Amino acid sequence: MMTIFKKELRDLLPWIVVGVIVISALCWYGKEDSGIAFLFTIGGAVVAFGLGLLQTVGDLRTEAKGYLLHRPFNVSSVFVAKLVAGVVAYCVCIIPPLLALMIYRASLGPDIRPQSAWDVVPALLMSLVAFSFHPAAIWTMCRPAKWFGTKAIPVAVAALGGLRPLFF
Amino acid sequence: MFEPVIRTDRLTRYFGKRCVVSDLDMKIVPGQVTALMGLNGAGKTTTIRILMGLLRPTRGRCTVFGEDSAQLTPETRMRIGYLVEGHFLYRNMRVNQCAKFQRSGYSRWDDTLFDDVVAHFGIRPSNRIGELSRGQRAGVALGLVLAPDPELLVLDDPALGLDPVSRRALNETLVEFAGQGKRTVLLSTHLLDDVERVADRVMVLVDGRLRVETSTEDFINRVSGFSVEISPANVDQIGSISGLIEARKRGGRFLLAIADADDQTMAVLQAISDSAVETTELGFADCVLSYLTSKRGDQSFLGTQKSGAI
Repeated sequence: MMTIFKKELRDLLPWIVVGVIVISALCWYGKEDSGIAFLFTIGGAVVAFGLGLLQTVGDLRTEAKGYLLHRPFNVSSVFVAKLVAGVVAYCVCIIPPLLALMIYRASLGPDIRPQSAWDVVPALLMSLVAFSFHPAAIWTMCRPAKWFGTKAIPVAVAALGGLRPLFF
Repeated sequence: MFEPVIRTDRLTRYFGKRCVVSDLDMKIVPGQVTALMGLNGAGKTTTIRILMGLLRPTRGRCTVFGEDSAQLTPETRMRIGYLVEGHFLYRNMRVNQCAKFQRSGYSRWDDTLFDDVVAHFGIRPSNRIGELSRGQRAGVALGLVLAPDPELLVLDDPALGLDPVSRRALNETLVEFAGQGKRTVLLSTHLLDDVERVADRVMVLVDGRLRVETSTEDFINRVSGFSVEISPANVDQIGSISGLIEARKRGGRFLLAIADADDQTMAVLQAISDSAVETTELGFADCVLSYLTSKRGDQSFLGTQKSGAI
């Protein structure tokens, strides 16, 4: 399982850079805004979904699927390896920019501006919830359902679970 | 009597409304090289994917080492070497990384064998897969499949892209691999010469149906060729010949391939022929091609022919 994890992480490396840039841009955009949780939920969901897609699309081809799955592991082990690699990649995308934002806010608030480093915590928590879009993306891509509506059920579930706190 | 390594029971698979594999009953006995042949789209790769548990059958069942192929355990997978069609490997990996990636989970791994196979193709362990030729990629894929010393080797078009020298090496490897009678090979291929050289048994799939399942020797013995001169008035009667596999017109004569021809067949041929019936020598490739071209409309002048299954 470790070999699959390492391979997945190696494949994701270039995309981690893209993810860091996306989240950094969100941090820059919301650096003085107090209500950034919504921004990071959406941004996190996009990054998580993108990582999940990237980890799955290549392996859906018949020959790639055969090569990956015919080995002495359960299919669930392959899924878990992909998931853990996704968690690591996602954390690398999310945590450093948010940490930088915390440091920035701490350096200015509350004396110069009415803000604190702890304002970032809700955004951090919401972006962790948004990670549910990662397994949802993998699951959606691997589902044998033909119709888009039934194929996308995992994404719908992730949307209900991950985005619900924003609206209710 | 040996327990079959692979057994299918009325295995059927549809893609949408198209039936790709239909009521397939086959048994692969241990210690033999079995060749699975058929035209493109005949259902060879689909059958193999079902056997490897990568695709669920629409109905029917198949077992590998006695286990339902849809639920193969890691222990059983360890006993099977599967070479996917097109010799797929991750292009961004190096050869030694591929070996490290592949060996994970296997209790046995023969480094020397892998190195030998790879060296035979003139590949260095530090080479990147993306930089290798198709034939060299085939070499790496073959080395990866053989190194865990599997009991069952399933090869989906392994000679694709190989030069003649590498093809011969592949054939020799297969014969050596299965030679001791303990290991089994299922080989899907279009290369009839290779099959004749290495296969003990032959299966021919036509339109997802198994039309031939027998030993290579028996296959050649049971298919006979005849050259007959038939007047236009009697042409319609060709279809009524028992065991007819294929009929082709060459020059002024018809070349017929017939399965299990007997005295009765000869009597029918003589009755519809305007001159003496000549027997023609059919090689292994001719026998297989007679089955395959009978399916292909552009090669056969009769739309529907009575066929002789072995």
